[in-house]
Amino acid sequence: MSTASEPQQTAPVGTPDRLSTGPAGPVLDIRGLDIAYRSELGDVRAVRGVDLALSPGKVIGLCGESGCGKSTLAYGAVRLLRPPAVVTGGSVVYRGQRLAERHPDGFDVLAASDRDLKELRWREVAIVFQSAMNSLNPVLRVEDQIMDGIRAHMRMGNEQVHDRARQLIEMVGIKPERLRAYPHELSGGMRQRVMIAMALSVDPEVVIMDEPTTGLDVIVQKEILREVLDLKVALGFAVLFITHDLSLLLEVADEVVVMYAGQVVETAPTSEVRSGGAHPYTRGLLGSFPRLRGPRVQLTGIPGSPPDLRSTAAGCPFQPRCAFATDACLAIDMALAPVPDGTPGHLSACPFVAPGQPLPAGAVAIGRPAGIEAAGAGEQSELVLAGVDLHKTYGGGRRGAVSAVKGVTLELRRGRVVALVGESGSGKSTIAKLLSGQERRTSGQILLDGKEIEPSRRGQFRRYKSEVQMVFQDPFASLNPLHTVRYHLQRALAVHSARTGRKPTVAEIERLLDQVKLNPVEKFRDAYPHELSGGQRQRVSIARALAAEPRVLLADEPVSMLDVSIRLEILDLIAELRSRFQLAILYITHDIASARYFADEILVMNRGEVVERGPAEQLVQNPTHPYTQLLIASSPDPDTFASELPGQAAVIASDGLEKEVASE
Amino acid sequence: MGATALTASARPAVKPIAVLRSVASTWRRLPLKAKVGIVILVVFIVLAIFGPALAPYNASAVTSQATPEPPTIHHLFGTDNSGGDVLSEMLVGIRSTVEVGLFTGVIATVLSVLVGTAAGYLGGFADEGLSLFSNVVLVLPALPLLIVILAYEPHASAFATIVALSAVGWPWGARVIRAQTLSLRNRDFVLAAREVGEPAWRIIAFELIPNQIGLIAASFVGTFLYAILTSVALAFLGLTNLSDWSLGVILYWAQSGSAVELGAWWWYVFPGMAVAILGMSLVLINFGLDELSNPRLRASASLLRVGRRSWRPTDPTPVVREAPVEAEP
Repeated sequence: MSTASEPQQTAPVGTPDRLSTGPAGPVLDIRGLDIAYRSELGDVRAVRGVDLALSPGKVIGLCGESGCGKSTLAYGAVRLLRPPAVVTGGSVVYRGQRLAERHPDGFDVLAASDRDLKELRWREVAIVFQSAMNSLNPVLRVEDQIMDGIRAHMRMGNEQVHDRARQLIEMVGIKPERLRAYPHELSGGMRQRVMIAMALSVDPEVVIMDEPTTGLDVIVQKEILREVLDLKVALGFAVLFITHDLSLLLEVADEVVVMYAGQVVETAPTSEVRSGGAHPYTRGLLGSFPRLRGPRVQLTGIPGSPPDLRSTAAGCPFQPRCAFATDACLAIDMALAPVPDGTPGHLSACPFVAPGQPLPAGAVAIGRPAGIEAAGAGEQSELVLAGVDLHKTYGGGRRGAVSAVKGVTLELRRGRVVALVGESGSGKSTIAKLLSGQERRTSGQILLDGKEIEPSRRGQFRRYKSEVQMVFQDPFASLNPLHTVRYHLQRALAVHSARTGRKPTVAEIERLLDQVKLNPVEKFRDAYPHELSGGQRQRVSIARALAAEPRVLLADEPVSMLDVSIRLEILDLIAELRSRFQLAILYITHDIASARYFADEILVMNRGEVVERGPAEQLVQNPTHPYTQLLIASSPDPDTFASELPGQAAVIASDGLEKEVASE
Repeated sequence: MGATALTASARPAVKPIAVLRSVASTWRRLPLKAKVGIVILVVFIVLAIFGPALAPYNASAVTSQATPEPPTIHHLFGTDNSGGDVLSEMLVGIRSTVEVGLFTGVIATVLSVLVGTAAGYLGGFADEGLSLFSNVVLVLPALPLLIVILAYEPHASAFATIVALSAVGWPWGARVIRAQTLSLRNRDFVLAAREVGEPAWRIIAFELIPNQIGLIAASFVGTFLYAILTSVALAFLGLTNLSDWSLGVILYWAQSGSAVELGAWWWYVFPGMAVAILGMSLVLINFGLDELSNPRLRASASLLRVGRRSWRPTDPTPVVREAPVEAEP
C-alpha cells in the first residue's frame, strides 16, 4: 500500500489483508449526529440523533424517501455541507489504519481543522456524488482527471501516476485505451465507472456512494453494482450506499438502515428486511414495490406524505401515515431497541409492531391492482388509436441520421393499458411524441378510429388533442410556476369547451380536482405549483389532461420522478380513471415490474424496435426474447436476491456495451 | 433559470390592496443596490416631470453677459457665457434626456421581446429570417449610422432621436430573449400547454413572456442606459435640436463656448455628473436585478455567520453545539 512516506512504491491497488489486520470495530463511527438547516422560520432538523457504524468490507445501505435526511447525514458526517446547514450535536470518529499512529483514539471529524479534513476527505473517505457521471469536466480527458486526483494526494512520479490510472480504469472494467477519451465520448455507465475509479484512486478506507446508479438503466446498474461489490471484496473498503430504492439495497447491502424524517427507524441485517422488516415504514416501503415474480399481489403502499421537519411534535413522525398507529405512538421517544425475538443487530424504533404482525383489519389497503380482474375481458374492446409501422429518423446530412424508432406498431383499445417498456434511448419516449403530435413521424400511419390522421398538422392538432392527451414525466416542470392550479385547469377546459360542452367555471374545476382526489378542493384550487408536493402536482397534471375528456391518455413515465411511497397512489389513480372513463392508456416506463402491475399488455422496446410483446403476466413469467430476459433479470426485485443472468443474455449485454462504445 | 427564480415568487395580484402589499414585500426583498438605484431613478423622473416648473430662471433667457459666472447664491450651479442659469437649464433639460431614454427603452424592449420570442418559439424559417435580420442590424455600426441619419435633418427633434435609437437598439435584447425562449420552449410546461391545445400566441404571451420578466427588465434597463448615453453623445455632437434643452445640449454649448479653456468647470461638471448619476442608478438596478434572480448572490448574511466570523465557501460545515431554534408555533 502506498502512502505519502513511500513515494517510490508502485501501488498495488489495495490490500485485502486490511480485513484481517484492521482495527476491530467500525472504521467510521457516527453517534447521535444532529444536523439542522438554519432558517428564519426556525431550524429544520434534517438529521436527528442518528447512529451509524461502517465496518471494513461491509456495505451499509441507507435508504429513505427524498427529504428524509440521508444525503445530509452522509455529507454532514464529512463536513461537506455549507451553511445554513450546521452540525448541532453528536460525534463522528474515523478510525483508519493510516491515521492510527497519529490519532490513537480515532480522528474526531467534528473537532478537526480545515487542514486535517483535507487529508481525511478523498484520501480516507471518498465520495461518489449523486449524478456523478455529469460531474466530469467536459474539456479534460478522462486520464487527466483521474491523474489530477492521484497527484493531489500522493507523491508519485509521472510514470507511476500513469500506471496507476491505467490500473484503476481496468479495475472498473474499462479498456485502458479509453483513458484518452473525453467524457462525452463515454456512455453514462462508463462515466459512472470512471467516477468510481476516481473515488478509489487513492485507496480510501470508506467510500460513500450517494445514489450512484440513479439515472442509469437497470442492466448497466446491475453491472456497476456487481463491480462495486467485487472491488469491495478485493480492496476491503467500507461502503455507505445511499439510495431511495430499497429493493436495490436488498441486493447489495449487508445491513440496511431505514431513515424517516431525519431519524433512523430501523437497522437490520439485509436478510431480516428481505423477510419483511419490523418497522411499519419499512414494511410500507417493501409493500410499495411491484414484484416481478410470484403472484400479482395487492400492494399496500403508504398513504399521505412525509411530515414537516420543522415540527417539534413528540412521538413517532410516521404516526399519521401508519396503519398500526395508536395514541401511544404520540408519546414514544423514537429510540432504537432490539426487535423481540430478532437476530442480533436488528433494531427498530417501533416498540409496538413485531415483525410479521399482520396489518390491522381496519387499515385501508391502497394499491388494488385495478382492472386486473377484468384483464382478458377487454380483449375485444374497440380500437381507438393505432400506430402502424412508425418510423422516426433524426438528423441526416453529414453527421449521419439516427433512427430512433424503426417500424413500431401498437394498438390502444378502450379501457386497456398498454405498457411500453425499455431503457433510455430505446425510442419509447419518441413514440409518445409521435402519438401526441409533438413531433412528425418519418413514415408510418397514425389511425384514430381507423382513419388516418396527421396530428402535427395545424388544422387537426386541436381536434386531435381533444381525443389524445398526455401526462408528463416531471411534475415539477410540467406546471408553469407562475400560474395557479385554477389557471391551468381553466385553460384546458376553455380550449376544449366547444367539444365537451363544459364551461371553464369554478364548479367544473372543482369537479376535476375531485376526480383526481385533491380534496378539499378549495385548498388546492388557488394554490401555486410550488406549494404542492410532487404527487399533488402530478394529480393536477392528470386533471388537466382529463379536462379535454380524452379517450386516450399517453403517460410518459408518470411516476418515475416521485417517491416510492407516492408512486403507487398515482398509478392507482390512473388505473381508477381508466376503469371509470374507459380510457385507452399508453404507459411508458423503464420499470418492467410496474408495467406488470399496471398494464394489460407489455411491449418491450430495444434500439427503436419492439422485441417482444404479449399479455403482461405471460410476458413477465415467460419472456422469450433474450433482451426481455436480461431486462427482467437485471431489475432489482425484493424477492430474488441472487438472480443471475441467463448465459445467453449476458452475451447480449457485453455485445450491447461494445456497440454503445462503437457508436459514440 | 434565474429569471424563473425571480418571477416565481412574485405573484400576480388583482386587488389594489394586494398590489400594494406585494409591491411592499417585493421592495423589502430587494438588494440594497437596487434600492439605491431605484431611489435615484425616481428622483430623476420626478425632476423630469416637475423640473421646468421648479427652474428658478428662464433657461433660455439671454442677457448681455459675455463670460460664465461661477456658482453663487443666486446661481447655484453658475451661469453660462450668455448668462443662462446652468441649474435651470439642467432642470429643464433632464426631462428631454429621461424622455428619450424611457421611450427608447420601452420601444426597443417591446421590439426585442416580439422578435426574440417569436424567433425562439416559432423556429424554422421564422427563426432564420428574424435572426438574420437582427444580426444584420446588430453589426451595423450604430453611432456612425445615427450620426448619418440625424445629420440628415439638422434640427432633429427628440422624436427623431427616439425613433433612430430604437431602430438600432433592439437586436441585442432580441438575441438574449431568443436564447432564453429556446431553452424555455422545450420545458415541460410549455409542451404541456401545447398538449392542452393552446394557440401559439397564448403560449408566447402567457407561458413564455411571464417567465422571462427578469430578463426583459434587465434588457429594458440596459437599453434605457444605452439610449441616455447615446442621446447625450449625439446632442453633444450637435445632432439634435439645439434650441430644446437636454443634458447633452448643455454639454454641447459648454464645448462650443470653450468652457474648459475659460476654466468654467461648473458649466460641464454639473450636467456631466447628472448623466453619470443617472447612468449609475440604472447600472445599480441592473446589478440588483441580477442579485435578486440569482439566489446564490444573496445568501442571508446572518445565516452564514458562525461564531464571530462569517463562513467562507471552503470552510467545513460548522459545528454549533447548542439546542436548535424551535419553530414559532
